[in-house]
Amino acid sequence: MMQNLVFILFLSFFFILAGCTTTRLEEQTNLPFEILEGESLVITSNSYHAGNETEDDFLQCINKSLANKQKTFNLISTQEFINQLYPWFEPRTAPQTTEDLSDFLGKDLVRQKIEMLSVRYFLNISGQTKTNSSSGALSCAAGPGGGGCFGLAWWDDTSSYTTSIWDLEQESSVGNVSASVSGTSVIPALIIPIPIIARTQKTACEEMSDQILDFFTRN
Amino acid sequence: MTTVIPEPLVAKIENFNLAVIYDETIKNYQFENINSESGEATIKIDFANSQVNLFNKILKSFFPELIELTSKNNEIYSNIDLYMEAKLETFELLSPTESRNDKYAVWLKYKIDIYDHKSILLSSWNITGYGEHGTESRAPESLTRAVDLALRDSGVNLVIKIEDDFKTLVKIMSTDL
Repeated sequence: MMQNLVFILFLSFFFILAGCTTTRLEEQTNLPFEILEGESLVITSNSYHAGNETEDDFLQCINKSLANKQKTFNLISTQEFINQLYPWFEPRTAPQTTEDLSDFLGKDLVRQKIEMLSVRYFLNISGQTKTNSSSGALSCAAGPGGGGCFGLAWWDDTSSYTTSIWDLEQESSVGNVSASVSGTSVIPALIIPIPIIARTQKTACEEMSDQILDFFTRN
Repeated sequence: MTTVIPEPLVAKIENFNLAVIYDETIKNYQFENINSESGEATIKIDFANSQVNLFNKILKSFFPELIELTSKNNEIYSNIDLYMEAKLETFELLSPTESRNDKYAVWLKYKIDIYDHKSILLSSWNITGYGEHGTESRAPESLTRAVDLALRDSGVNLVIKIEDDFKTLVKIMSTDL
C-alpha cells in the first residue's frame, strides 16, 4: 500500500510538465535618459491603499532575476530600500505617481538618503496574475486496496504586468515596458494525476526582467 | 511576534524631555479570535514587545532622552516637559474566510493623551494603522506580515502627527506658562 502511494507520488512529480503559454511584450520610450556606472535602481510597486494588487512573490522574482542577469547597475532590494527610507516609503507615504515625486524628494532627509544610496531610477511595477476561467472535474478516492484519481480539470491564467521607469533626476517617467503572459493549465487523471501547469507568472517575471535590461542597454 | 521597525528618518526635537507611560494593552497584548463564527481555526497573536519597540523607536528618534515610566503617579519630575500616555484602543482582524477574498487585513487604533509638566491634559491623539497581505505565501506568514504592516503604518501616522502637531503643543504650553 505504502509502496503504491510512493510510486504514484513519484510519477506525479515526474510528470509535472509545463503548459503552453502565449506572451505579448510592449515597450515605450517617453524621454531620453542614461544610466551611469554606480547608479542604483529600486523595484517599487504602488500601495494597496491605491488598489494595487501586485504580488510580493512577483516583486521578489524581478529583484532576484535582475540581480542574477546583470552587473552593470546596482540593484537595491525593495525591502532594504523601504527600511532605509522608513517611514517615507511605506504604503501610505510612498509616491504613487511621478507627480508625487516632487513632494517626496522635497523632504531634505529623503533626498539626502537617496543621494547617499545613489538611487537614480524607480522601476514601478503594477499588474497581477488572474485566473480567467476554470472547468472540468477531478475526483480522487482511496481505499484499502489503493487509491487513484479520475477526470480532467483545466484553467486559464493571465499574468499581466507593466513597469514604469521613473527617473528621479527628471522627476518623470522615461518609459514603460509590459509583459502579458496567458496560458492554460491542465490536470488529466487516469489513476495518476498529471499536472501540466502553465507557469504564467514565472514566465512574465523572466520576460519582464529581460525587457528591463534591454530597455537600459539599448537607450 | 517581533516586528522590526527601522531607524526612522526624522529630525530630532532638541531640548525637550518626554516621558512615556505604556498601558498594559501596549506592553502585553495578545489576541485570540475565540468568538469567530466563521468556523475557521483559532487565530492567536502574541504581540510580545512589538508595540513597545515601535513606540520607543519612533519617540526616541525625535526625543533621544525619552524616559519610560512604569505608571503615571502624581509625582512631578522637574526635568520632564511632557508626559505621553499611550494605549491600544482597538485591534481588528479580517481573515480571508470572513472577507471572502485572499487577504488578511489588520486595523490598529491607539489613543495617546499628552499632559504638560503639571499633569494638565493638552491634547488627545488618535493614531491608526492598517496593513493587509495576500495569502500567496503560507497563511501564518501572511497574517504576520499584515500585522507587521499595520504596526509600521501606526509608526508612520505617529511620525506625521508629531511633525504636524508638536509645534502647536509647544505653543499651547508656552501660553499656559
